[in-house]
Amino acid sequence: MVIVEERDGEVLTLRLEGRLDGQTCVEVDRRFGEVATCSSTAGVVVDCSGLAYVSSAGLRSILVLGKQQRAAKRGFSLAAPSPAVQEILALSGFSSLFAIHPDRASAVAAVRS
Amino acid sequence: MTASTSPPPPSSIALEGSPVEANAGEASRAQAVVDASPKVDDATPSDPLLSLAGVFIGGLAFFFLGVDGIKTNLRQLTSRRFRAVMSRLTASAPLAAMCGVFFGAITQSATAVSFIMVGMISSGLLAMRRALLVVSWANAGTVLLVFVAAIDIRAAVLYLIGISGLLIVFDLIKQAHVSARVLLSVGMLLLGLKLMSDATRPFAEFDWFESLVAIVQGSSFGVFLFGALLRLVIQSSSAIVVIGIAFAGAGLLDKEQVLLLMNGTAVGVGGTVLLLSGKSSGAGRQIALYQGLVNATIGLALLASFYLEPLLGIPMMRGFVVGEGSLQSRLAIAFLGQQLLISLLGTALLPFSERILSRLAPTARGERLDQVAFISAASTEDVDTALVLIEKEQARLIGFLPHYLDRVRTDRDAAGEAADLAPSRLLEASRRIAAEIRGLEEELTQATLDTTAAERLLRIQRVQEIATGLQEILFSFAEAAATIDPASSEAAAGLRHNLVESLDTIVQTAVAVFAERDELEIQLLQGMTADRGDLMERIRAIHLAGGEGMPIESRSSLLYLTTLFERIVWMLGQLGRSIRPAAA
Repeated sequence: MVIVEERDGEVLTLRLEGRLDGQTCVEVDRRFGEVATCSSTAGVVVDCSGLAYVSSAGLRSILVLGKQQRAAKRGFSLAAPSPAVQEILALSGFSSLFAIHPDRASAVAAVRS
Repeated sequence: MTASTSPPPPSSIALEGSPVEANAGEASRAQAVVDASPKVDDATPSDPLLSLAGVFIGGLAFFFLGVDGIKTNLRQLTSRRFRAVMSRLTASAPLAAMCGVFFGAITQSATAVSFIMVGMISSGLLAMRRALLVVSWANAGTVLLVFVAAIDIRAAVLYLIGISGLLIVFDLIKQAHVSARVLLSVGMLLLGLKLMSDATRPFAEFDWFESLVAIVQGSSFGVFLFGALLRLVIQSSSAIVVIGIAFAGAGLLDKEQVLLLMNGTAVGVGGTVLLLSGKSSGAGRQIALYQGLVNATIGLALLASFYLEPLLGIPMMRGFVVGEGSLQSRLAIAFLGQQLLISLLGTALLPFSERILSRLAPTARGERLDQVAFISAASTEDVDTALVLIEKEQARLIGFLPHYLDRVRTDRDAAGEAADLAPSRLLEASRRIAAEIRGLEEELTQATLDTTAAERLLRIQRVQEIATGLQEILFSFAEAAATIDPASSEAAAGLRHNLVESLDTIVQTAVAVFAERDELEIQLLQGMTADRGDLMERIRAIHLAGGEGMPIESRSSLLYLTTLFERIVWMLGQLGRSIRPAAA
């Protein structure tokens, strides 16, 4: 699992590449924890376009980050999931909790606004 | 191999008539009382040993069926009232010791008591420490047989089996159905031990057996070893001591050799218990190790004392068999001394035993799953504490929910007390704990509650109802998911993965809600369980319309799975809503 970070002003984009499962989510959780406490970030976009596999452990990692962002009243969006990832996100009820955008640009714009 | 030409050989031998004098063994002979158990001449004349082997194997089967039945049925007998009775019976160390003596006396087998205690521990009726004390003192209880050698428990055992069996078959006392099954299992265990004992006792009447005794009688250590080996096949130390006394009366062994034979049985008990518990783990193995090691230690210590006594000039075991009185009564007192030493050593080792035993035989995963963790100490006199304890127990029960999916997940990272167990095992445990919770809830409804407590109890009952339903439906989901072969089609594997992993995510969130009672987590659960009827219809249309080359069986199973999924998600939403007032 690789996390590629890009910053668009106060919006931080985290692009996840590879498998997000019980093993890899440990490192992801650590980085997500740091992001959640970073005061210079007004919002976070998790770019799922590179996600090849996601398990419930990975979904919980995303959920916890979203919860922390919501508690801190910061923006949070998911972007560009593949159809398979889109389906698991929808089944998990994430589409009722967070905005899921077809591409990164629209997600960043939504978080910024 | 030939049978002796003496009168029909006994299967159990008891002494009666005039006392056998210690120094006149050659003059007095014990009178063998022949009972109605398997006799050599009852068997096929050509091969009586084959017939006795059949009785022995049958006894072994009865024994194991009894052990299994006690364990299974006691688990269902874990009502709060029954636990309270057991708790009172073993409330203090002296009471537990008295229970042990009583159980040892009526079963005439410390081995049987050991296995009954294992059943009680695994069903949460008894703590390990109390069970060890009961087992220790059961050794002393078994001496009764030697003092009252003519007692034959077989009739009592058959009555026990007969009455409990008839109660079950004709369903005569509905409320006592499980109790009757426990009694039937105890009866089968005792009958098994009795049959094994009966099958081996006629050995004493075979010429080859007497020849064997003649061989070992030349060596003190040989007699000791013979006692240990004999105990492995004859499942009663008391019976061996009775046989030894008979041999002493017949002049086959002298009184000191009977002492060694007796000491050997203690080592034999150790071997027997360890052999019979061979495949068990956790509590079963711990009790077997305790019983085996304590018995073997005393047996070996007494063997050492036998050799040291003349050297040191201090009267020890040999002191029991000199002086006035009949040989039978003096040997019986010596046996009592040995068994009391075993009980006392067991008691003295108690403070260290649990720690050492749990290291030697760690508790098996899931062994304590059926036992309540919080509400056992709850009392209706302190309503608030009882409600808190029920909520904790419920949170633990809800913690089982994700583990129904462990075996069908593609990312198996499960940990915890219920991790990676068979869904049927989880369901069984959850039903038992739910019954315990319901029992306490019913007791609380009888108590005087203020409005706040009454509302809280109603909420708890609502949560319990939903949580119980969720255990059942998640079990069905896991079973259905397991029937889908991921190798059958990529699309089937993909949809199964998505359904299982997403459901696990929502269930994990519900668990977090009950563990943390955090308002934000409750909001998340509410959002995650919002209506998804349209989504499910879309998924069915995409995957299950037959366009992806999915086998018909997989399509059918996945259709069922999506229906269960929707139902579970709805129930999880209800579960989240039911906690809200408590968290607010």
